[in-house]
Amino acid sequence: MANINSVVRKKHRRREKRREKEKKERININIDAKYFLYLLIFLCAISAYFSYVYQDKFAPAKTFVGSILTPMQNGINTAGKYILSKKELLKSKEELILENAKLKEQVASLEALNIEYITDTAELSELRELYSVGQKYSDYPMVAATVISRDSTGLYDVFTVNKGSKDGIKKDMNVIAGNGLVGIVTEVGSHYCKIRSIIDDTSYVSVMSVQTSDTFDLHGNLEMMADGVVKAENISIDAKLKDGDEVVTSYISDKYLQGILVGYVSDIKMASDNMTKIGIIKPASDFMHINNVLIITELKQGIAEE
Amino acid sequence: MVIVRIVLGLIGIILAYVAQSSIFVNLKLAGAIPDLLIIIVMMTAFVRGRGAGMFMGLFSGLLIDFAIGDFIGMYAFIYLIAGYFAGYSNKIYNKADNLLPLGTVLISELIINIYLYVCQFLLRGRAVFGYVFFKISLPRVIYTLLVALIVYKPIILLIDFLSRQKSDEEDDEEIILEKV
Repeated sequence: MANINSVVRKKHRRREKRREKEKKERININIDAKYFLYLLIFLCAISAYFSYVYQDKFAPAKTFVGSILTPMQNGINTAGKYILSKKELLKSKEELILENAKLKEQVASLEALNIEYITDTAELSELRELYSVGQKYSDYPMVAATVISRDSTGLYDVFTVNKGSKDGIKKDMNVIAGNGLVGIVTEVGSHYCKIRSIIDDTSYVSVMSVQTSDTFDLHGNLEMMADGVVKAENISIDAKLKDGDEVVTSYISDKYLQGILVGYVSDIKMASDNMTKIGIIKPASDFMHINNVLIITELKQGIAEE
Repeated sequence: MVIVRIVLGLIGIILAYVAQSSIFVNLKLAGAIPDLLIIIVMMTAFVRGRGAGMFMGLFSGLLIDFAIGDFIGMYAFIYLIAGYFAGYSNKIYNKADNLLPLGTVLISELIINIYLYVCQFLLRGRAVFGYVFFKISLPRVIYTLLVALIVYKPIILLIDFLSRQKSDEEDDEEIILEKV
């Protein structure tokens, strides 16, 4: 009996001690939380201000975090693609039959179009020579890269690929996929880089039409981003653009190399100010399904300096 | 013990971020990707209180800032505040509560989306609230809530398990057992 009593007393004492300790800790944390909040909000504001003013100085910190995340994303992306392929398998037969019928229709119309295009090609190549643009960029040195992650907020169209400064990538390099312009490199880490696509809401590209050599601006637009198209602005009122005209990057731009195919004109109409025209450009590359891109490892500034 | 908790918290945040930016990009619903980080922040705040919620929010926000943000502190600020205020739910913490943790996820995700709209569009003079809210924010909120519905219980139980110390009740049980 005495034994049990002593055990109980011991437990009791231990319990009291722990309670006191916990009480102390709890009070500390409760007092601190509020002041920590003020302090951290203050720090956030300061860092937001400084990272806005000195954007270049903060790049190394961003690169550091990126270099930790990228290998993981790289690995998990493989798993993600696997899941996607399984999801595709789940498509129902009816859907596939419907799609097949639609595709057959499309093939027929494309064949007709193709004949038209073959006749146009001769004319096109003449025009290209005339403007010395077009296929020129196939001579540029290029690096192939794979997309490993895309912006997860849905507000931007920014994606990360698996090539970085070790592969010779530098900021402001142009990125193409298929045969059309995709975007521009905005941030470079040692083994990854970030690309802002031309359909992003913050993106601006100065372009020119091959057929009529009118220059105008492409401005990414959030509402059009979902459809994968870009808004054309500041088209001269005298411009004789018509639907289907080819649009390439112009010589005016200081970051985009000249003569890269961007897309095709559609829907030209008067702007609300009645001084310019606006339109929609359908990009040559498919932004919904970008997996592999080519980065042109030549900067426009480099060419200018030479 | 504190260090172990911080490390585990950081690992959780990084895993959630990697999952949402690599796996869920391929599992979009109505063009939206769920915000897994807010789920983790809200659950931590619910189980552990304001302080822990605040720091988890800060770390999650900083991670997003460094990964995709234009300037450091924009996401950190809102996640920090969300974590802190969600921490008040800890005052009526009950492991079996279902409504409260999901409610905090819903409200905080809504507020965060409105905040992001203000920061990224309104301040640039782009007044497209209707479009952003119905086409981007709302699907995101709903998807986040759906994912939260599946994962909130395991997360709560995990955090609860990690943070549990020998409580008085267990002590009493021991004494009773010894007496018997």
